[in-house]
Amino acid sequence: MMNYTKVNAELITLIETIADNKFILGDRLVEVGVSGPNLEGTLAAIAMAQSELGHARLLYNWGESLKSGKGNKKDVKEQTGKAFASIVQIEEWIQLIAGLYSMNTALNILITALTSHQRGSEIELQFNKLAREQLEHILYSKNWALKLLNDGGSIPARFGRAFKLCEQEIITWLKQVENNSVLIENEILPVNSNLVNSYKEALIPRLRDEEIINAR
Amino acid sequence: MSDSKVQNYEYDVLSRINRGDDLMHIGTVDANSDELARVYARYIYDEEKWVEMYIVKRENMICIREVEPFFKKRVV
Repeated sequence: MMNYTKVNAELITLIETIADNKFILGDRLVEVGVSGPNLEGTLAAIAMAQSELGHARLLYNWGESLKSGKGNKKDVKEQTGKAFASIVQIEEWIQLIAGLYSMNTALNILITALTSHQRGSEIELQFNKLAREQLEHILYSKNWALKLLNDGGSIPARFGRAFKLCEQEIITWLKQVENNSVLIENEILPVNSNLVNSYKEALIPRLRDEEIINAR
Repeated sequence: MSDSKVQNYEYDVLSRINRGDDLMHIGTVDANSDELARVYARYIYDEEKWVEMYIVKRENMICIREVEPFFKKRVV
């Protein structure tokens, strides 16, 4: 029983961390996305915000049902405090794309590891639709990231720096998750999930270009 | 942040509301890649639950008959 509670607590923390970041991303996509550089980018950002907020709501409800044992659908007005500082501090388009790309890529790696290890389980069921929609968010942010990296002036360097800021927090978190003994022992995550390496491999290679990141 | 360094293409968006309906031209999107155009179309034209949706790069459309200008240039 004790063990079960511990597993639940770890799983709830993981779910709430994802939900909080999605909740804040949804909020930033509306606040910052509304002043995007072109009409298509702006409209898609606003529509994507609804989707991110929907994912957050689904995950909060799942977390609540794990806590109380029943499906409570309460109104979510604020995050639980687990969102990353680099995501909360998004205030302009470059930071928004950096946050959206780094976070969604990391979540995709994590969710793939969780669902492929837990086929047919509650975890796969909860993440299924979310994972599909998330792939489109990655396409959007990846293509915008490429656009910013190919832009002129200081934009590639500014994007590189904003991305690095998000990435540092994400890698620290992914390391903690891939080494979480409770999740591994209870077979929620595979032993060698290699989340950090998979995350780095999934990114645009140009983001590793020191010349871009260090340019003034 | 400008589009000056990145070339944009125009894409036409076509969709069908129900099975058996005509494929309708519902709008256009401007994007620098097929991937981005696909996401734009999917998220911008979300007013219906389309059963089918396509994007076509404008430059890939073959013109059969072109609109004639109202006033033809007089050649001297």
